[in-house]
Amino acid sequence: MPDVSGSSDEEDEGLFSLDPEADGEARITGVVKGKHIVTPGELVTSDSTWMRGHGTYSVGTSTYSSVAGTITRVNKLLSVTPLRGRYVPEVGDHVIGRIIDVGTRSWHVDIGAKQAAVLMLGSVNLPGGVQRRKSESDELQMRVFLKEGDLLNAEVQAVFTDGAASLHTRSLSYGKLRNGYFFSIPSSLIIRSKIHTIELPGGVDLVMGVNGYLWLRKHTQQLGEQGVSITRLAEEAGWEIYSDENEYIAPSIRETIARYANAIKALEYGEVGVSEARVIAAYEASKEYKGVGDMVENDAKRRIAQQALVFIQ
Amino acid sequence: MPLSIAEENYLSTSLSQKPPCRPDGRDPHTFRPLDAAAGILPATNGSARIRLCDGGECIVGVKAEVEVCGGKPVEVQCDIAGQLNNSPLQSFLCTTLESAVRNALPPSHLSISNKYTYKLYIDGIILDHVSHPLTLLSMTIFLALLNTRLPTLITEDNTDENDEIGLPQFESDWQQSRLLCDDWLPPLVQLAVVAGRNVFVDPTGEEAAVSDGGILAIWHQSKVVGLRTVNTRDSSRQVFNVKSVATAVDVLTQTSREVENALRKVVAST
Repeated sequence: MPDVSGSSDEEDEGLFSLDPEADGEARITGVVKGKHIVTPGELVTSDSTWMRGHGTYSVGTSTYSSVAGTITRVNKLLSVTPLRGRYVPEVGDHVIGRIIDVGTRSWHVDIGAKQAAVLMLGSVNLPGGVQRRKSESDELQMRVFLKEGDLLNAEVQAVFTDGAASLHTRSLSYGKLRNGYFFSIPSSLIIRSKIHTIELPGGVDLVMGVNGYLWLRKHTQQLGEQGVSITRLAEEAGWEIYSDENEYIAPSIRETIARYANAIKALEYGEVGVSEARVIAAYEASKEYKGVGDMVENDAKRRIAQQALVFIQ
Repeated sequence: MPLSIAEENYLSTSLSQKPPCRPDGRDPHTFRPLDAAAGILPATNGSARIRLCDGGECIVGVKAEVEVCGGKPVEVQCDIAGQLNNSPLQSFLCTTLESAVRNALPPSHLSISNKYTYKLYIDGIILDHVSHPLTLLSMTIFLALLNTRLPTLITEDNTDENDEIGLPQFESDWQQSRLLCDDWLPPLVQLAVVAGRNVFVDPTGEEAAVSDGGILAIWHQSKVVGLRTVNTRDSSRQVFNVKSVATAVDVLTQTSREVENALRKVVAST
């Protein structure tokens, strides 16, 4: 246990205050542990003026970290973001999930969070357009749309007070996933960006769920790209959005998908955050290995992860 | 968790096409990298641990006890984390490996006198597994048996059958102990999955889930001495092409030899 008696001057030797110049009117309000990575039980600050956020606990006036992670600060709020751990959903996140249960008027979806997310029947696009009313027959044939095991991408619409997420797929870029391969990496390695559906060189698309679930698929024209006018999009959305049939996928595309999957797993092995630029860089670096299978070796993974970082700079 | 139909379709087509394309691009006979160590438990006669890159981990300890002749010479037990005792998978692993080791082990290697013999208790614990744990457990047992040492006997081999008090006495110096596998190698049991005409070793969980079925081969003294089919997916579909069985034997022969050599190097280096 750390010393709870308060901060002595010696203890503050290794501590420094967060940069007061960072925002104009901020003043030095207390000392915060200088290094950014803390372990459970480690002193974050002994100043009581800070507000304690997630990943911290307090004994007396001191704040300690309850997880292993990095200190983040928003104004006066100190929190510790864990390095590992389950995905914590936030409103607006683009996630990939797998149906685990079909309930009454809702599906339960595994998104790798502490609790299963809920996808309400009213939050999906049903064949026939937006104006269509949900009827009792829709409730009875929910398994026709989405059944156990199905993969889909969706957006987090709301987060309940207990941390469970509610999803929606009310956009043509969301919905059931086809023509590809699923795998997952830790969610902490995903770098958030505005776009999480990436068109990669080699005729492959990557859907990068913020929850660390990834989907690599053959590049196909999505419904919105086919020149249908925006106002008619919803009417065009027919039963095909819930189809389970894959298109023909050439062996070369399958190999490219395997290469991208290995490249991303190499980034994971090197604990390198995954972003669009890094995925492409890792893919380029992986071309050094003729056979896709050569990339499963640990040395190859390490090398690709290093190369990817060099390419970016 | 079941795979989605589109996902399953993608994987099974990739695996059964010619040439096949595994999800991680490996050759059909390539293993994923693994981490192996022998002699990790000081209180056992022999022990080993293997960790796979997908998170699978297995620890095996071998204990030799002195017993009166006539019982089973080898007993294999294993615990699988997260599964109850007597689960079908557990009894399948134990019976397969127990019979493989028992059939391969020459009785003379365990005998002490004509009244007493060693009995080997091989205890494994599978801390985690994503893919089928058979190959993992078999490799760990192989490594643990290679690492097993038995104390040397200091009492004369008493041929008098009626001698009741002739309990065997052993050398207390562990440096004097002898290796169980001095002129003998334990068996290896390898699992391969069949998809169409193709056969794959070291299948990942998803590869096994979309395969037509599995074939295990018991490898001992540089040849395949036993074959069996294994159900690797939750369905009754278990149809192989006859040719794929022959391919499986070829592939498993090749990889078993390589795995055996690799594991022997691990023990030699410790």
